[in-house]
This record gives sequence, C-alpha cells and structure tokens, in this order.
Amino acid sequence: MKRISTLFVAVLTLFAMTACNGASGTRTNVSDDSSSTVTSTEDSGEVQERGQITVWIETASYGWMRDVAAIWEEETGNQAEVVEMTMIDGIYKIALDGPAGIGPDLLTAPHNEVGDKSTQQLFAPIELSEESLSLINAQAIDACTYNDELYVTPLYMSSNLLIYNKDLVSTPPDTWNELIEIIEDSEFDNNGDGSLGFLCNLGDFYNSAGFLWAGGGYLFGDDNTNPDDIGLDSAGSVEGAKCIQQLFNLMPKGMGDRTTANDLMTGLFAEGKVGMIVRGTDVLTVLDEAGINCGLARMPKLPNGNVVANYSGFSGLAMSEFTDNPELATEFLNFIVQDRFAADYFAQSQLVPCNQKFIDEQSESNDIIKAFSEQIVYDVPMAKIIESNQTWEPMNGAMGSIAAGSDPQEALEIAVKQIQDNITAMRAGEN
Amino acid sequence: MKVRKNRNSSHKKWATIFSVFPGGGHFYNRQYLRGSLFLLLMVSYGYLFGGVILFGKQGGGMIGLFTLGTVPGEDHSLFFLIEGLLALVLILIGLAIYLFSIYDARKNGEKRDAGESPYKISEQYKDIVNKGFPYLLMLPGILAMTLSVVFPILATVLISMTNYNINNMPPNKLFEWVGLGNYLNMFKLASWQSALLYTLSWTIIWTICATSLTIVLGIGVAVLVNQREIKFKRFFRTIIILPWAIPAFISVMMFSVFFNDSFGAMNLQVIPFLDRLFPFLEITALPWKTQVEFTRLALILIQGWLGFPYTFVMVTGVLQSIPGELYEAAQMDGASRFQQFRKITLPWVLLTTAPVLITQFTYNFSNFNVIYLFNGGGPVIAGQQTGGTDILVSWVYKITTESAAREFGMGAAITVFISLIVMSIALTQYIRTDAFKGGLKK
Repeated sequence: MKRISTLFVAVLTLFAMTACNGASGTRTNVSDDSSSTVTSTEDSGEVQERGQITVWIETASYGWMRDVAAIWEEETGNQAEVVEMTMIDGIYKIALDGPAGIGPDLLTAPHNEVGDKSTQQLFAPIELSEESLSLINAQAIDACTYNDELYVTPLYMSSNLLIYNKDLVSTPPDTWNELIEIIEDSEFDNNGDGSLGFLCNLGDFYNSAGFLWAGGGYLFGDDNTNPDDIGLDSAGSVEGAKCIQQLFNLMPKGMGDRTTANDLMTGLFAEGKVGMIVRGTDVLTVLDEAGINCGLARMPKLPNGNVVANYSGFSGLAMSEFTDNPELATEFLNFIVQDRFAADYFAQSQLVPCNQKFIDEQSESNDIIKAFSEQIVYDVPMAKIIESNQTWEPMNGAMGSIAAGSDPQEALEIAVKQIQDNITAMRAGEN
Repeated sequence: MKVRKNRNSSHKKWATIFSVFPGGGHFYNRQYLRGSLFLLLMVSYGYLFGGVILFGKQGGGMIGLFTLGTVPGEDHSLFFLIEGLLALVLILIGLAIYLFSIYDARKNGEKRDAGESPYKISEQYKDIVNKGFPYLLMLPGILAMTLSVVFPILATVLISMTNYNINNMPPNKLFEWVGLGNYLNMFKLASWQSALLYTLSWTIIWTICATSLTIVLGIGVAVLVNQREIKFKRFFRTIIILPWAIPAFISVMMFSVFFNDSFGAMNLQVIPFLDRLFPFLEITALPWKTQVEFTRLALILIQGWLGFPYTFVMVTGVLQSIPGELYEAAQMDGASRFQQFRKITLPWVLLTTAPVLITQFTYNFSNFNVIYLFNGGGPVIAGQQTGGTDILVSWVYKITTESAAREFGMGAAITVFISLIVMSIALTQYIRTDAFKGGLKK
C-alpha cells in the first residue's frame, strides 16, 4: 500500500511539473488574440475570408449586441464573439489581458476614459467611414474624440433627468422659483412622515456638478483640457453651490449619505412618496414595474436663468491597441451604427442610442427621448483628461461639507487645494 | 558484505566532491539507483525549467528581474517582475534539490567510512521509500501553497520596491526598482505621512475598541447563558449565533441603510422607542453617517454585533471544561459569585482562548468588509486624502483601484507595513502568553 501510494504521489508530482511547463510553453505568441482564422483557402479573391473578432459588451447592451452580431454573421459570414463584461471590469482588464494576448478586439468604454487610455496606448484610433460618422450624434462624436482621433464609437448617451410623479406634481418646474414652490408646497412634509417634494443624491459630485456649471463655474480651463486652471472655486461655481446648499436644507438630512441615498431615493419614489427625483433613465424600468405614473423633464433653471447642466456621458465600443484585426473590427463598427439597429437598441437596453435619426424621429412621440434631447443640449460632457479622475473624491467631500452647512466658498476652496495637491503628487510620481 | 573499517578512508570527502556532478557521489558510493534518480531529476528539471529561468516567456526571466525591461512598449515590466520571481523560485527549488543530493551522498560516504555497506539494491529501495514517503506526501500540498500563498506574497514585496503607478504604467511605460524608496516616502513626504498617521491612528483605535467590545460581549453573554439557573440554554445559544451565521456582507449593507440619518430604522424607530422608554435620557436622532464620530461609533457597534457570537461559542466551550470542584471549593471558602468569576472563570477563559483572541485583533486590523461596505470609508473629510473611517487596508484599496494615480508600488509598501505590524503584535503576544507551551500560569 505504501509503495503504491508513493508511486502514485511521485507520478502526480511529475504530472504537475510537466503541466506547469506545458501550459506556459504553448503561449509563445505574444500578440495572439482570437483573431482571424482563415477558414478558407487562399484563392484569388473568389472565396470570402471569414474572420472573427471578440467584443466585450456591458450588460445592458448585451442582448442587442448578440442580435446584431448574428445578423452580421448572416450577411457577411464573419463571426463576432460577444462576451458580457461590465465597463469597469473591461477597462481594468485591458491593461493586463491586452499585452498578454488574451484581450478583446473591441470593448465597452465611456468617453471620459479616452484621454487616459489613448495616452497609455491601450485604445487604438478608430477610422469610421464618412457615412457612419454622419449617422451619429455630433456631440457624441466630439466627446469621444481626443487629439483629433476618434477612440470610442458611441453607442448610447446618459444624463440625469428630472423624473416626477405625475400624481403628485402636475407640471414639472421650469424656473428655480417654481421648483422651490413645489417643494415647499403644503402637500409635501419634508421632514415628517408625509410625502417628500424633491430628492437628489447631491452628495455625489456626479449629480451636483450640473449646478456648478449652470452657475457659471467650470472644471478645467480651455474647455476641460487644461488641468492647471481649475474653476471649481470660481464665482460661478460658488453661486451654483449656494443653490445646492439651499436644496440640501430642503431635503432630509439622510440625503447627505451618498452611499445609500440613491437606493433610498429610488425606493421611496417607487412607493409613490416623492414628487421629484433626479436620476438617469436606467431606473425607469424599476419605476414602471412599481406602477408609478412617471414623467420626465429637463432640469429646472437656476435663479440666474441657466438650465442645470448635468454631466453627460457617451459610451460605446473602443478598439484595443492589441487587436490583430483592426480592419475587421472597424467593419463591424461601421455595421452596428446603422440606422436600422437604433430602435432595437433602445427597446432592449432602455438606453438612449446615439443615432441622430432615431433621436430626431422619436423626440416628438417618445417622452423619454423628448426630455433627453432637450436636456442633452445643455449638458456638459465629463472631462476626458486623466486629471479629472482626481476631482471626484475631493468634490464629494466638498458636497458633504456643504450638506452639513459650511460656507460653500470655503468648502470649494479646500477641495480645489486638495485636487491641486493630488495632481502635483501624481505628476511628480511621489518624488 | 562487511568491509573492514579503514580509518584513513575519505569516502565522505570524495562523495561530496563527486556530487558536484549530480548523482556522481552516489555512483561513487555504488548506490546506482539513488544516483540515477538524482541525475534524472536534475536533468529533467534543467530541461523543463531552464528556458523559463533564463528567458521567461516574454523575454523576462532572471535578466528581466534585474532590469524590469528596457524597451517601453515592448517589454512589460510587471510580467518581467513576475516571471523573474518565478525564475528565482525555480532556481531556489533546484538548488535545494541539488544541495540535498550532495548532502545525501556525503552522509552515505560517512556511513562507508564507518564501515557499513549501503550497496544492496533492495535496501536502497526500502530506504528511499521509507525516508522519502512523508516528503512525497507533502509535496503536492507544498507546491500548491507555494503557488497560491508564497508566490503572491513575494510578488507584493517586490512590487513594493518599485515605482509602479500611473506615471510608469506598463505596457506603455516601464517602472523601475526604487528599493526602499516607497517606505521612506511613506514617512517623510508630507502628503503620505499625514494620511498614513491619520489612518493608522484610527486603525489602532478601531482595532482595540471593536475587538474589546467583541470579547467583552462574548465572554459576558457566555457566562450569563452558562449560569445554572438559565433554562432553554440551547435556544439562547442558537439565537445568539445568528449574527455570525448571516453573511457579514449582507448584514453590513443592511446596517448601512439602517443607520441612514433620515430614512434609517435606527433614527426613525429605535431611537424614538428608546426615548419613550427612558425620556429622562433625551436621546435624539443622531447623524450616524454624516458625521465622523458617529460613523465610527456605529462601526464599532456593528463589529461588536457581528463578532461576539464567535467569542461566545468559543468561551461557552471553554466554560464547560472548567472543573466544577474549583467553584465548589471557592463557594466553601465563602467567595461571592462575582469573586468566583474574577478569580476562576476569567483567568481560565482568557488564558485558554488567548491565541484566538489575538487572531481577532489581527482580523479587525484589516477588516475591510465592515469599513468599506458600511460607508465606503467615509464620510469624506474635507481636505483629507483618506476618508473619515478608512483603515489602512481600505486606504490601500482606494489608492490602488479607485484613485487616478493607481499607486500600486506605494500600496504594496503599505500592505507590507500592515503585515509587519500584525505579525509582530501576534508574535509578541503569543510569546508573552506562553500559548504555544499550552500551560496555565498560576
């Protein structure tokens, strides 16, 4: 028994050693993607070359992407392998998987990553056909362009909207005074047990930024490209911050806690207890299921007459720098942005596609598109340069202070100082 | 076959010298089986891993470990580092086998000097099987542990000595060795130093308070439930284990909503209830999640709730092992219940469970779940790089994954720093309580 066991263990160890070396030994080709496997022989162009690409698509758009990939295969014979992966995961993984040779050809990315990722040479520039470019919303193309190159083919756009309960609020507010009037309406008992007028997770800078921009402030100078000029403590920003503070005072104290505010807000709205909330269109499915009669509108104006200019986001497919098959991937991109797929996209993902024709046609009939297209005109796209990532935490802190009642000017100045320190540390590489 | 003792023979010396060539010493000792085994082992080892050691899979290997790449864009520093580490580990293992073969041949040479004859094949075979059997059995386990535990730890230590951050991000750029640079910067650079001290002080306070609460609650409740007079002991014990049975992940997220200032059940229901019970205390709704002090208080309370069942179960077991005669004797001497607790129960329990209690401290020191899930390490303090309730691990998480600067090098250095603290505290406490010796000090 002992002898057999020994022999067995010895053989097992040998297997382990060879397996370790074997598995690593096969991957000798560094830039090996699931790239074009030519399944047909090299004939003089008579036989079609069948190619294959891999696409990392995020969850909401997954169903649609599979359908389109199937149609593409039908029409051209090329295969697109569609893998579900969240944007955050994909962007994180591309840095390691790409160089290792197991990355995708296309991956989902938001527009504000183009600066960072193109400098790190993880995204390759995309050359869409003129025709394709003409089909896509101009703002989206602009947001996804960096250094005059397009790095993301926009699929959908996102922005916060004013969602209101039609049973509690008959007409959405247009001006600031109307907004305050509705909130202070006797029907709403903001700190007791009755209905609440207005909720917004202003503690998270993504939601409150719009107020600063409408007040006249800005993030970085030169149209959000110059990180040395930070406009978060300018007079305009302070004005917007004062409006934010006013709203905080009208909302329950718990809204200052940004980790749970979003869920609580949506939950209460779904119970019919809130008049208005500010959120993106992705919550609409939940609200519809709850049976709330919701309406959408663009954001109200600040006292100075400017519409609250929320952050807009444009997301779509970026091309990996490590792809073996850029031409085929570009062909795929040209294919998916066609007009005929836009309606299906909206139906399946509940996200607003960047197809201009769709937006134009639907903006009268569809409430969501109507409100969206009104709001998007005022929106400011999130900044693309890498320094913008340093702004979130300090500004969240500033919003927290403002919620607690400190002077908006002071809070913003502290945040700006911290952002500057962070940027300096980042540049110096801690040396 | 007995050989005459020859005091001038130097088999040992020659066996050692011949063993420089793998298996040579064994052949000299006429242990052909053993010799060929070692020879085969070394040759196959070299063949399998030689390439990896020298060149790695992407041009790394030992050379890559020193340079960490020379051509940006083509050489991937991180892969070089990891492959280099693998090469290093393989070299060490190979060296270990080699040295063992020399030692083995030397010992056999010694035996020959002493006049014994280790020649018979069947004897050799039995010898190998008997002596080598335990090692062979351990081998798969050791391999697995090396790969999944030792290797990542070594990789972290190596990364902590580089300047791996967004400015030197592969594959576009290379990062370099900076030796102890990160460790020095942690303490010297103002921005890192202030964040480190702030986080470290809260981490220490958190660890002490949370663990103490857990232990006090655990021991207290265990002693209470263990009293003779309590009926339905099983029922109580089952209920008390519930906080531990429910996944902490879910519980903490529930608590996160529970403690919300305006909508959470704590302020909406629990506090008004307490207020009605004890109106003279005048308890009001507290800003649990928007003010730092209250968030910290909430966290300590939550950890007490989550952690005490574990201590409770352990102490209950220990209580039942205390001999009843001690209590009888104490009673006859006229000791009160409380004195019995202080002089018999408490010392016995603390000494027996000392090792486990120490692990509770080390666990809370790096208790990422509770801190991060409750309020993301917040609330955010204006002007502070770290959040109000960030402990060292959650701070490392933020600077590596959430920040734009992606400070992997510095994060690794802080991780090593945390490990050193935890290891030294655990070790000193183990030694102090003589826990390894298993005795009960009178």
